[in-house]
Amino acid sequence: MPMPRRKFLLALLGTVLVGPFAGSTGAVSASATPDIRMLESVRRVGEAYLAQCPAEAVRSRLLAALEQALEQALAGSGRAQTAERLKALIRADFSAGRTIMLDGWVLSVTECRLCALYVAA
Amino acid sequence: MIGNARNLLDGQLLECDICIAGAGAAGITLAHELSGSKLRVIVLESGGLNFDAEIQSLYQANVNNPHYNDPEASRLRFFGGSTNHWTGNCGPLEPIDFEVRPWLAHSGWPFSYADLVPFYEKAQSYCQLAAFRYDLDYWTKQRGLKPLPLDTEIVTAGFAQPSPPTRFGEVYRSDIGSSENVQVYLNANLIDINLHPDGSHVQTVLAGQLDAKRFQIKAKIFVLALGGMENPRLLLNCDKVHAAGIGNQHDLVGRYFMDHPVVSAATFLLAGPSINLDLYREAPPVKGASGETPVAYAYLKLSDAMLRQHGLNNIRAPIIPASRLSASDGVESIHILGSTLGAGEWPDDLGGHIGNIVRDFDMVIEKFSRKTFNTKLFDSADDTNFMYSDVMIEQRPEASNRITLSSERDRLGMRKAAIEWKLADADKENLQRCLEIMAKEFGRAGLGRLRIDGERGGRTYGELLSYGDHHMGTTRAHVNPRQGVVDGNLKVHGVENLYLAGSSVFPTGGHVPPTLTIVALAIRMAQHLRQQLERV
Repeated sequence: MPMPRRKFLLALLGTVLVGPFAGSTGAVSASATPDIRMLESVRRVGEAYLAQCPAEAVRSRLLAALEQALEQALAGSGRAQTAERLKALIRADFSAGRTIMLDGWVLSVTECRLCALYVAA
Repeated sequence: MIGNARNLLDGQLLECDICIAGAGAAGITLAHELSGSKLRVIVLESGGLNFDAEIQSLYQANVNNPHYNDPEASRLRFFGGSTNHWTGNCGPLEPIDFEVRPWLAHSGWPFSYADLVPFYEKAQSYCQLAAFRYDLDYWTKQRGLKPLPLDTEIVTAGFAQPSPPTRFGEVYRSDIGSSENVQVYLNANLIDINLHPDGSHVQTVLAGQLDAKRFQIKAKIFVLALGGMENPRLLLNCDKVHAAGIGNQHDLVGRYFMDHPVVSAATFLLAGPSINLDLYREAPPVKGASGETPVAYAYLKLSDAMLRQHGLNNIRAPIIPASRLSASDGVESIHILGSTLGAGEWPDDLGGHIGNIVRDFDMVIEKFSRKTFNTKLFDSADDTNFMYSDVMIEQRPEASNRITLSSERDRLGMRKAAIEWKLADADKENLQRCLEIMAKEFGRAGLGRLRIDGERGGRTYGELLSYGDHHMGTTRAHVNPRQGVVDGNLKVHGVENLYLAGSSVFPTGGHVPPTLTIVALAIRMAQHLRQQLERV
């Protein structure tokens, strides 16, 4: 995956995320651009995820974990395709039970790791 | 005919073939089904044709749970019974509800869903409903709408039909009143059941009014259709022959009391505005030449395959639009802080609650303004970005949930009911597991995310918990007298001419409001009683 990996992955956040990322202040459509409110929610999810999975609190470990999941799914895709493939990957997480519960929200591990990337050291 | 028991003489003896006590959904349906037959039927109704606070107070009970509704508030004691205030949500129990489910103790009915279908079909018209169809294919075609693209092997749609709602006392009053073989007595409270000294059968019942006038009814068959709390209360009160009460030789009367708890349990956030939820919303009835026909609406439930695989009891999760204000975490945190700090305790995650309030401060202010000044500040407070679900769950039958008798007596001299009701931790866990499956399927289908709104400062299963007020299980049906008060024909074990109608006979309650099943069982009972008496 070409660098800068973290920046690239973070840019995908707004294209795929719903749910807790809306907080209780408004819904976010799948194509919304991240705004400040949303990023605050992303931070909260990221922090909650790392609190549950402290072993991944190091950015390099998160990137490694994400890369492992994303590399095959995203290989050779353009930006538009990437968003769709990432959504498919997240849906596959739900299908396979790769989920985690944060503040009651049932979330895919991939989307949580993306959020954690935002806050990881 | 509809008469008034106040016109009877003190000490008068009435005779008939079938005496029905109670004129609610069960009693009226039974009487209506028997109307036109050769059988002489007497119906005893405690109240009159309208609400009377003095009569209503006979429902007063001692409730052990501060959040559980007193029957004086949840039932109605006049002609038509609690159908005088029901909401009309109808549907049949599901085939799996009648089965012995290995994971659910005390499950299994003494007859199958298929056995009850002919009676359900007829019950539909009693409740002024559309055709006996509750399946996805039928209603998606009827309404021209698509269901959510969920894997129906995991999460599917159930359907409810809204009754107008039928006020049985009003709708069937004319038919009953003009019947030549059915005689209703208003203001006639059933006070005692006089068993033969050997306990084998009922000889007469004693009825009367608050003014101490008493009369007796002699019948070939007696039916109690008094509701899920009053049926056991009466059986327990009648202790002259059997000290433990009638039908209670195995300590079952009053036990296994169930309701349908409704838990504010889930919040949905949809992935986008294009997701159409019209099938899941109530729609006005269709007007036709023969009147209005109700239109069914959908709710989410788990497939039978999921229930069997995971050993779960089903839930029904309607999808209801929620405003920003009603879904506000900040407002919720204010409530939690208020209740916990008010009780002199610190809440869990104090920092999280404070953060919620700060982030959601506009909604906190909005709530305060509306409550204190009745003034709306932010239009956005009414935006419906979220969906929520008040989930109706199947409560497992527990022997410790029960109706017993208190030491207090009502104005008729009968001991009042004492109600012990609690929701088991296993039921809460069952709900959590069901919602986790729904949440994963929601995410897999790309529909959005689901938040499981667990316990919030003791409020979710406390003050926020509501109920269907569906009183079930207290005289459960089972072929084995050691496991049921009534048999498959709903006759009390060991008493040859005493039958029980209504939801007290339900061994389990599913997630479905009980009225349609109550009516179906009454129709079935009418057929059985006619076979019993007309062949003689």
